[in-house]
Formats: sequence, structure tokens, C-alpha cells
Amino acid sequence: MSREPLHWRSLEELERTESYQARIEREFASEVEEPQLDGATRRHFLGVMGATMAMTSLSGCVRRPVEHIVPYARRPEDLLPGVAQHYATATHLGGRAIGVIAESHEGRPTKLEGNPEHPSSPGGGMIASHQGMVLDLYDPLRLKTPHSAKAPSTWEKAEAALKALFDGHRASPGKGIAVLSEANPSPTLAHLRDRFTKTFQGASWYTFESIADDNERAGLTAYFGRPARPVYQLNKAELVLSLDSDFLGYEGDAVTNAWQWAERRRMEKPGDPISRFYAVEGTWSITGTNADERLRLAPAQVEAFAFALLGAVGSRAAIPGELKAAVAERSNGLPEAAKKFAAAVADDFFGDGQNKPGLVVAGRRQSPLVHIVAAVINAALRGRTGTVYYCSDLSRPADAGGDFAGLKGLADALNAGKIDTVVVLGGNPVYAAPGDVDLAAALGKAKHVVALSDYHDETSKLAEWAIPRAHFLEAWGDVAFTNGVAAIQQPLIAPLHGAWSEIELFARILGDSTTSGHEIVRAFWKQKYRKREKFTAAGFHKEWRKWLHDGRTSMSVGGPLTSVDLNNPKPITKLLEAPKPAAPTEADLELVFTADPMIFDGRFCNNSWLQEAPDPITKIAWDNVAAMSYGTAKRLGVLQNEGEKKAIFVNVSAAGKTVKMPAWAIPGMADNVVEVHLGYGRKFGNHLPYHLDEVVGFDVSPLRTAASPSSGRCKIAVADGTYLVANVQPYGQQVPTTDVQGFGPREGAWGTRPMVRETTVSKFAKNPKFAKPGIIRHGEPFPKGAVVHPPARSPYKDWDYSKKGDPTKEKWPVNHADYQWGMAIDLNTCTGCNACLVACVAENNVMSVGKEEVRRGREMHWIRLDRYFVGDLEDPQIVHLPVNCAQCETAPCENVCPVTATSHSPEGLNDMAYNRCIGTRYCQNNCPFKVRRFNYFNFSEGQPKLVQMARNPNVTVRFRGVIEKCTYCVQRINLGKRNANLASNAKAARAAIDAIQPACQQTCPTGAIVFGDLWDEKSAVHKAKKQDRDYGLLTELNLHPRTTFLAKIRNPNPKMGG
Amino acid sequence: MSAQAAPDTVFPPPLVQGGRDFHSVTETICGIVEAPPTKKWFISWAFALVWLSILGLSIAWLFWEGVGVWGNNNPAGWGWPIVNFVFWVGIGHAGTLISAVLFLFRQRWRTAINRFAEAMTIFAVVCAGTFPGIHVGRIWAAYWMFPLPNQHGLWPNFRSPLLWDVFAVSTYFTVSLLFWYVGLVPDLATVRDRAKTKLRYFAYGAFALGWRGANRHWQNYERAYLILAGVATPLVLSVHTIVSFDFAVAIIPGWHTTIFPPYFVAGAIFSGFAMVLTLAIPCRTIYGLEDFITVRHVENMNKIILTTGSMVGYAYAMEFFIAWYSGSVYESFAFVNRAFGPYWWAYFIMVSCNVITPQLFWFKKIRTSIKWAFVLSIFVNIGMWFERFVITMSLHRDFMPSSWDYFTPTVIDGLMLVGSFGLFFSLFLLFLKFLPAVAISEVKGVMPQADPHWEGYHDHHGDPAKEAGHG
Repeated sequence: MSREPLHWRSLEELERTESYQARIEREFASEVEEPQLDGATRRHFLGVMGATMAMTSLSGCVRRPVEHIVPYARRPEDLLPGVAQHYATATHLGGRAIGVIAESHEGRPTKLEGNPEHPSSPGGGMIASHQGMVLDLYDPLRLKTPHSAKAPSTWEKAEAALKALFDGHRASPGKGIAVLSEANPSPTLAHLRDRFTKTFQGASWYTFESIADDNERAGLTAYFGRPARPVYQLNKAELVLSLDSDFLGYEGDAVTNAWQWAERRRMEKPGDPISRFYAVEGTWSITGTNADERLRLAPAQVEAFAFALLGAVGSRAAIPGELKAAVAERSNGLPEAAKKFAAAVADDFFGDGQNKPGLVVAGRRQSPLVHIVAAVINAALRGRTGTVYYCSDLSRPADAGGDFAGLKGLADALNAGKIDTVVVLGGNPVYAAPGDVDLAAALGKAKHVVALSDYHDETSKLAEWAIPRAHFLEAWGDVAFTNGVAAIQQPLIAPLHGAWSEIELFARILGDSTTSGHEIVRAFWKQKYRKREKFTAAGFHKEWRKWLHDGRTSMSVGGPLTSVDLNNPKPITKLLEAPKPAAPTEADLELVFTADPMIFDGRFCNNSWLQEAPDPITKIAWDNVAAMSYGTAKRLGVLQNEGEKKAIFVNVSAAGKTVKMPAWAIPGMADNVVEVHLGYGRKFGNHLPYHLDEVVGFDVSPLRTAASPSSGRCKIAVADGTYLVANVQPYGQQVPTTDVQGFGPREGAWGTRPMVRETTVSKFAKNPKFAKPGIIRHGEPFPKGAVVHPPARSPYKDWDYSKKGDPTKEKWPVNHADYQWGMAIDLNTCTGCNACLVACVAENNVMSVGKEEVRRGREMHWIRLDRYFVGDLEDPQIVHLPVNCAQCETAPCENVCPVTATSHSPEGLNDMAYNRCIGTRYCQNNCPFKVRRFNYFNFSEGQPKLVQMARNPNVTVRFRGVIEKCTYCVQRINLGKRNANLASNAKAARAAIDAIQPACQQTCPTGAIVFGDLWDEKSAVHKAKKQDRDYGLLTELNLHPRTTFLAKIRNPNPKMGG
Repeated sequence: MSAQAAPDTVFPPPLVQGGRDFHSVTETICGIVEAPPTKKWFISWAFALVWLSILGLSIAWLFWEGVGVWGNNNPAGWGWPIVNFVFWVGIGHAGTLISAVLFLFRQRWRTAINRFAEAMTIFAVVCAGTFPGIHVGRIWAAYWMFPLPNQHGLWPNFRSPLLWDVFAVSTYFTVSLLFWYVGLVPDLATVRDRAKTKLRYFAYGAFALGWRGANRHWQNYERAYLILAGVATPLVLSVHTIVSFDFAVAIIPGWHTTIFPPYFVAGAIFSGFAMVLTLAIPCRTIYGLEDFITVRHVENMNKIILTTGSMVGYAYAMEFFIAWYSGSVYESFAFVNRAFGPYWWAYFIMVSCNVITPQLFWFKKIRTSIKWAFVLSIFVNIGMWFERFVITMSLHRDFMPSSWDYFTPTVIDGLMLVGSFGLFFSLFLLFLKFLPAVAISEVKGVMPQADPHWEGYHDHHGDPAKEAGHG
């Protein structure tokens, strides 16, 4: 029998004596040390306490909501939670393709950026409307299921109904079918369209865009004998003339135009080449604000101007005889100043020894003849330039006439009972139709209306079948850029509610067995690829993946027209027979319809980011107004009170209809011209917590006519009442005035505040440091009455960014960080377009607050665009100044905060700790730039979960009661720093730092904003700040702002007295 | 100096009139406390309570919704709440000035009004303290303004004038309260001793701290009162100096001025005295205190109003001069904009009420007229509220013309302003009813009877007026 060996420590233990037994049962070795708590031992006490706590927590237990956490059991390849992914895709706006890089967080697209690989966006920029498109994806009001006669239905029923409907038409074939499509530059859809018209030969196809290029198409088709679209090469043009065009704003390929235009506008030192830019316009476009010489001329007279220009060019260029003969008659009645302007422009373009590349851009609202004149002059200049080439229009069938003529034709055919089935392919034509086309009534006469629509809107409400349309981030597709370069539109997310793209709808109409958008698009490109190269499946697969990666294909559709197509101008007798547009008079005002710079034709009506972005010129958000010149408004007695943001109602009567809307004077418009923005008068329902469901603005479409959709004649009568508008900048001048109404004297006794500093090329040559003296006047460069202030002296020495500090030696300000961030904004290239503002909203979860709160001055934008009028009230110029937090080194906001919620980072950022902020708003008061924004309410409260999906998870959503402001996109800075830390070598690390771009810089269509490390002598921002043009705002307050500006230089024509 | 100077004309009339003796003083003042509240008092108090409730509801709404219920906007981050705060703090100045500074300067006429003024001070500071507390965006974190130890290891920012404000106002409140209470002790004992009900006996007795009127008690009392007066005197200057720093330390044109501290202190005394008059004049009639608060008191206060009003007027003028003389266009424009900009009307009200109308007090007839004094004191109250409004609204047009905007108050703003008067009067009416509104013991001290050489009512020792003339 084996026995366990006994281990013992002492004899006592071995013997198990009683005293030993008692001792080891005690917790503490000595009696004295044992604590006695009212007779309870420590263990007893702890036991009771534990039980008590357990009971208390049980009884006080609150049922917690059930939360489902679904972690990745196996993480998808290349997906790191918290690290955003970027995909290339593409879309279009009004038929113009846009290359997109979409940012996706855990499968949610949150932000769009331009794709620099794609020709639509050479600098990776975008305009404001493009930026807003991602919010539309999450619009809670989107059509979510197919609707049959306004009642929700199912996809199966819709599919069956469509099949039955179009199968029934096969026999005729297609007789009585009409398709009303948005302009769509999709090659695949064009292919399906061809197949459709072959299958359904009796069907007719209409393309309609509310903002259409009908005149350009009409003019150039007549002239060239075939449809042609001009593609401008502004980077090659040293002289540019805009004839009522907004090519920097939203006309044509605005982002490309802006980037190329800016290439010619950057100046580092005197003598650097800069283009000269003339603008002739009657309304203010952002393009016009950037002109060196701007002629204020009613749009109706721009045609006369164009002919006067032709006359002034005379024999210096080859001009078709027909046009030459019409010069005298067509340019008759032009004001003297305009004639002089035309002569000066002609001299500049065609003067002796003049050999500069030039370009004339005709605006889309101008008559076909103006487009022809532009083409003629550009052709005359072509020998020395290459500033323009022509391409076919890929967004419409080749034989398409004008959009509005087509729409009228469709309505007539419907009314005549010739059409019984209408397919509306996107858009909202019932809303956009001009006043003399009652499309709603006409559609009522059709037996079947199928509408592929984003919303329950004016059009889809009338449809027998309303089918939800897929957002571009939800569906496969493709788009061709104006010059023919095609890109694949790849989705980033499955349809949120179920939806079809145009392509998928057409596949069903055609009865194809393949209805997957992906398959159709891929098959189309496979076919195309097969024709070009030696085809292998693997080869195509590789190519396809490359296309998706790059965001563009290696194949073109259409492409530039050859000179053979263009060198045989056709007679334009018919166009010349058209009556000459008469100059507007006091009794007969001209009414101009323009796209809203933010919500476009109304398609972004439900987009709070864009609604809240103020108009670049009027600075009014959430509304449209009847804009007119100061003189006209004064004559009519309808000058607004800007200080009180109060406008006077007027009745605008045109085409037999009257619209009551507020009048608004904008100094610098042509007299007797009224400009109205399209796209308003619809209900906004994005469920902003502090915005009531209400109609935004005023619908002006009834005033349009199909014959002349972009301008007309109107009468203005003062109506009852006043109207409050959300005007974010009630004072539009740098000359302070005590005037309440906002139209005070342009020369003040209190000086001009040099917020925007500008000069001309010749004065810049004389004094390159004109912007430097700051506010201390050193004589010449500042306008009369400029601010004089002694230089402020700091007890601390200025930081020298040319070398890194040595933390062991330097006293304050010692920055131990590796980087010092700074920003420079070039006012030469800032066009004032608002793209940065909307990009910032998207990137930083900046809340929209609704019209009422904006009107009260509580908008939350972290970057704003200040617009100042310069000059007199009749014919001023406009300058823009983007203002974000300047991250002052001696920030006045920091020392007044009682809880140190805002303080300086070692990298020079003025940080904001939302969690520490208690909301005294002292910093907001003490900020000389007034860039700090306060959450007066819980603006993020109650937003639908769907809208919340659009938020950037890397940026805190601010709660009520805290201050927020620009951070230089600190989340992007930190991402760049992480990448630099992970980089394998110093060069790669530097590249990671150089790649940091705040959202505003990233999206700026002209690259006006540069950001980077001030310590890096090679960085763009360091170089920019070394320029003589560099100046800071309010530096006399000793702020040491990190955001500085490069002063503006205009290049006026010296012969025009500029 | 004329040898013929008639001694009779040197001495002013006695401070307490109507040939009162000690007993009648006690009877009159304690009578108010002891008599049941009148119907008028109940109606007034109910009215004040209604407005207090409206203030409470407005605050509740504010807490529920956020600061947006006010009219504040982007350039004007501060609006009426701060205006109200400065207004009430200013009013709170007269009390300490009367009780402490005039005490140290041996201005014996102060005794009739000091209790009054101190109570007003305390209630005004209560009103004032309400506003900075509720005006922060995240009310639930407002206590972070105090230097409390916390697990974050974070201190408040000692460079921020708002923090100085917290210390200044809370110190002022504490010292004023102590001062008031110490002064009350002998009178509370008087009420206790006269008490006919148990409750009154115990209630007043508890607060009377066992006062028996012993020599030792009086000695300690006098010493404590003197020390507190010494402590409180610098506070008179410091509180509004620091309140003015809220503005002067900021860089905003119209705020950033070195004249602010003295100008604010003068303005505070100005408004405080006006408020004392506004309150005292009706009370003396209603409660029959004409013998204590005499025309002479009113005239003295009017003189102070005239002096401080002129100082304020000088400050207004000097601000303009300096704005021009500085050469800073921002500064000069800020002031021109005050006078001629969108808020010209507020500036006009301010100057009319603060500078022009008090000048009427140069006329003895007006200065000694109770009615005029009352009307003009209301003017000063209005004017001083607008002064703070004008100053705060410098924000609406500062450096960058692009961010200029107009501030429009909301209904809640208005309700809170009126509601703060509800709070003030609720407390003040309670004070009038339950505490001796005039310092009995101190008033007795300035009566001729208090003179050790006074020999009864036989008048063989001289004219009582002469005896009282020490004051």
C-alpha cells in the first residue's frame, strides 16, 4: 500500500495541535491586528456589503436596449474597420460627366471627390452641387418601392406590368410610345436606345433638360451642319471673352474650365504671364465676378455686342459674308460704352502684332447667332491657338432638336392622342416644363405613364407606374465625358430601398433576359473592346479592372470632330432672319432664367447641404429672389433692407402668368433686367429638426415659354407685403457704414477695411509688396481712406518657419511638434463658387439648420465665402474671400475660455475640445473673423437614421451648446501623420504629409487653397507664403494667423482706362 | 470766515424727523414686521410671484431647448442675458457702497437707507447670478467654471475674465450677505423681544444669535461691522471692475478700452442709487417711513446720482474722443456706429436717460422733490439697462463687415428680463414684510437722544438740532 508523502512545515503542523489549528483558521496572525467592526469581522462585513450591493444593483437594474453587434467573423480582405476606402466611379449632372472618387466607411459612401484621372476634374475638384450628390443617396423622401397609381406595389407586379405593357406594343411596333429622358451621356444607354428604336420603330425619343443647351445646339448645328459641342482649352487661352457665360460656375464642364482657367491666372511675381479675361453679362455669374474687365449689358443686347465685335474685328479675320452683312443692322442700338468695349476687345484680340491665343465663350442662354459668332471668332483665332475643339453631343440622340421644342412636341402629340404610353426616364419634367406646356394635363391623356423617378414628385405622382431610380452610387452604368472619354460608374452600395437604373429599366422594356446592370454594362464594353483589340477573356478582365480602378476607360466614344466636319460652314440665312432681340426698357423688362448655382434646376431641392449653401452672389440661402440692378430696384421702389433681411414682394408677370416673389437689388446687374433662379417653389422635407416642412422659394417655371425658355419679357409691379430672407451677409462692402439698409456710401470716413487686397498687373509691377504693409498704410497701394494703425508689438518674437526650432534652446513659442500646419488661399484663382463650403459640410458633419435659423445668423458653416462689392452702386466689381478659422498663433479665443476648451496644439492648430466646452460663447465674441459657430439648438437631433448614414465617422457630431469651427480637417491631418509614421523611408513619409489635403483644398476646382507643413521649405504652402502677395487678415491685432491670402491681381486692359 | 457766522445755520436738520423718540422708532419699524400682511402686499407679492414663475418656466424652456430660444446669433454671441447680468450686478453696487463706504466716511445719513440698500444688493446679485449660470450652452457642465478637483486633472482657465467674474461676484455676494446679516442681528433681537407668538419668538430668536444687547455684544458687533465694512469697500470697486474686464479684455472694438473699469464702477453706483430711490420712495409712503427717509436723504442720493451720472457722461464722451484719437478705424467706427448705426435708438435712450435727465438735479427744487426723484430714478434704471445693451451690442458690427448682423431679441428674452424683476421683487417684498426695513439700532444711534449729553425733552441744554448736527 503506497502512502502519499506528507509535507510538513513544523512539528506543530505534523502533530496537528489544537493551538495550531486555531491559529491557521484566523486571518491575521496576531490577535491585535484583527479589526473588529461592531462585532462583525472584516470578512463578515465584506460579505454583507457584497450581498447588499448585489441586491441594490439588481433592484436598481434598468433594462438596457438590446444591441446587436455583428463583428466580422472573418474580415473581408483589405477592409480595416475605421479606415475609409476609396473607389473610382462616375456620374453626370445635366448630361455632363463627372469622374468621382467616393469615400466609403464600412460600406457607406460619405464623401465625393473629383477623380484627377478623369478629364472632368483635372485637379480632383468638384463644384458644390456635385459635392451634395452623396446626401441625395440618403434622402428619406426617396421613392422606395414601385408605386402603381400612387399606391405602393411590389417589384414583381411592376415587372409583370411592364412586360405586359411593352409586349403589347411589339406588334405595332412601338407605335404610340414616347420616351422622355434626361440628358444622359451613358454609352450603354445610348446603345440600348438604338436597340429600342429599332425594336419599337414607331416610338419617339425626347430628351429634356430644364437647363439645356438648345441655343448652342441650334446655332452650331446650323453653322457646322452637324451637332457639335465646344470643348474649351482655357489653359491655352491668354485672352478670354465670355459672352454671358458662366463657364466657371456650372455651364459646360465647369470644373475642367475652372482648373484650366486658373492655370493662366496664378502669378508669383510681377511679369508672370496672366490671361486677360473679359466678361459681358447682364446678371452676375461667378464667372463675371472674376473678370478683369466686365461689361454690364442686358443679356438681350449681348447678341448686338457680338455683332459689334465682329464689326470691330473687321477685315482682321475671315468672317462669313452673311454675318458681316448683318453687323450693321444687328449691332444697332448698342450703348456707346458697349461699342467702345467691343472695339477694345477686338483690338486686344486682333490688334497689330497681336498673336496671343484667344477664346470666346458664348453663354447657353444666348441666341444661336451668338454661338455662331463665338465659333467664327474662335475659328479665326484657331491658327494660333487650339483653345477650342468640338465634339458631338453624346447625351442626346444625334438627330435631337431642341429640348424645349421636343417637350412641346411631346405635349402636342399627347394632346392629339397620338401617344398612349410615355416612359419618363428620370428628372421631373412636369415641374420643369415651361408655363405654356401643360405637361401634367398632357400626360393625363396617356394611357400608360411609366416614370423612373427619384421621388414622389410632380411627375411620378401622375404615373401609372412610378419606379424608384437607383442613385449613381447604387447602380452600374457608364458615362462619356464631353470629349468622349468614357468612365464606368461602379456602385459602392447595394440599392438602399431597391431601385433600377435607366439601363436596368430598358433591359426589361426590351425584354432582355439579362437585367443586371453590371452584366449589361460589362457586356457592352466587352463588345466594344472586342472590336478594338485582340480579345481574350482574361485580357478584358484585366482591362476592366484597370478601368474600374482608374475611374476611366481607355476607350473613347465619339471624340473630337475633325476639321473636315467643321471647315465647311453652312449658310445661316434662316437664323439671321430671326428678329433681333430688343433692348429691355423701363416698361418692358428682360426676365432671365438661370439655374440655381446650388440646387441647379431643382433636382437638389431636397438637399439640405445645397439649400443651406448661400448663393455666391446674393448670399441668400433657402430662397430665390427676383434679382435686379440697384438702379432698377430703386426706380421701382423695391430696394431691400439688407440689415433687416427684409425684401419687398413684387409681382413678376410674363407669358400671361404672374409670380409673386421678393425683389432683391444686386449692384452691378444691367438695368431693366430681372434674374430669377429656377428650381424653387417646391416642398422641402429633409426632416431637419428645426425646419418646418415648407415650400422653399418660388416656382418661376410658369413664366418660361417653350419658345424662349431662358429669357423673356416681364412686367414688375410692387405687391403687398415684405418677405424675410436668410441672407448670410447683409453688408456687402469693405467700406463701413452706419447705414441700416446696407446701401451706404461707398467711400467712408472710417476707411476701407482691406479684407480683400487687390491691385492690377501694372501696379503690381511697380510695387510687388503692395499687400504686405498690412493695415499700416505705406502710401500708394491702398485705396483712399485705408486703415492706418500703428504696428502692434508682441512681447514674443515671431516664429521663423524657415527652420525647425530646437526645443532645448528656444523659449516660447517652442513647438516640439514635427509639423507646423498652415494654409494659403490664392485670391487670384478663388472664383467664389461655394465648392469648399459644401465639401466642408460633407467632411465635417456640419449641420444644416434651416432657413429660419440661418436668417437669425446661426448657420454653422466652418468656411464661408465673403463677397464684397468694390466700386459704385451702379457698376461695381465683386471680390470673394473664403474665410475659415485662421488658427491664429496668438488666438484671442483661447485665453478667454473659462474652461480651456480651446487651446493650441504643438502643431499650431487651434484645437477645440467639444467635451470640455460649456458654451459661454466668449470665444465666439472674441474671434475677430467670426468663424466660430455655436450649436444654439441640438441641430443633429431627430435626423432620420438614413441621413445619419451620410456622416463622416471620423468627425464628432456636435451636441447642442458647444462651439465648433474649422479644424483644418484634423482627422485628415492625423491620417496623413499615421501614414507618414508607417512609411518605410523619409521620402515616403514626406509624400504622406504632402498628400494631406483638407476637404476645402481637395475640392477647390481651381486649386486656390494650399495647405501643408510650414516647416518644409519644399511644401507648396511654404512657397506660397514666401510670395510677396501673401498677407494675413487683421494682422495688426497681433493674431499671427496661420491662414493667409495671396492678394488678388486683375489684369485690366490698359487701353480701357482700367 | 466771518466772525458773525451764526451757529444755528451750520447744522443740518436732524436725520430723523417728526420729533420721534426711541420707542416710536421701534414701534414704527417693528410694526411693519409684526402687523399681518396687507391686501396690497399680497397682491404685489402674487404679481411678483407670477413673474417669478414665468422666469422659472422660461429657464425650464431654455434648459429643454437650448440657448437658441434667445435671440443670440453669430456675431452677437452674447445678448440680453449678459445685459441683464451686468445690469443687476450694477444695481447691486449701491448697497455695499452705502453700507461700507459711507460708513467708513461717517456719513450718518446712510443709516436710514442702508438696510434697504443692502437687501436690494443681495437680491440684485441673486438676479445677476442667475444669468451667467443659465447662459452657458451646456448648463449641466456649468460647474466646470469652479476650480473643483476632478479626475481629469483640469483647472479652469485662470486667464479668462469669465473666471474672474465667478470669483468676484461670488465673493461680493458672500460678503454682502454677511454684512447685511451682521447688521440685522440687533434688530432681529428687538423683534424677538417684542414677539407675541411662539413662532416669531423662535424664528427671530434663532437668527438673533442670542443677542442680549450686552456691552460685550455691542463691542464685538461694532468691531465686526467695521471689519466687514473694510473688507467690503474694495469689493465695491473690484466687482464691477472685473465685470468690465469681461468686455475690456476682449479685443472687440467698443469693448477693448481701458476706461471701462472706472466707468463701469461709476455706472454701477449710478444705477444702484437710482434703484434705491425707486424702491425707497414708494416704501416710505406706504409704510409711513417719511420721518426716517427724509427729503434730505433723497437729496443726498440725488447728488450722488448727479455726480456719477456726470462721470458716466464724461466716460461716454471720453470713449468717443479716444476712439477718434487712437486712430484705430475699427474703434472709431464702433462708436460712430453706436450713435448712428442700427442701434442708434438704444444709444439715444442711453444718453438721454443717463446723461441728460440727471442734469436736472442741479436744480434744488427738482433735487428735493420726491416725485421728480422717483421719475428720474426710473429713467436712470432704463438708461443703465440700455447702456449695457449698447455695450454688448458692439458685437454686432466688429472687424469684418461680412459678418455684421443684427441682433433681435425673442419673446423669451423679454420674459426673462421681466421675470428677473419678478424674482427681485418676490424677495424684496418678503424682506419688507419679515425683516426690519430700516436699521433700528443704527437709526437710534444717529438720533439726538443717542447723544450722551442729551438731557431729555426739557430742552435746557440747547437745540436738539445742534446736537444732531454731528451727522
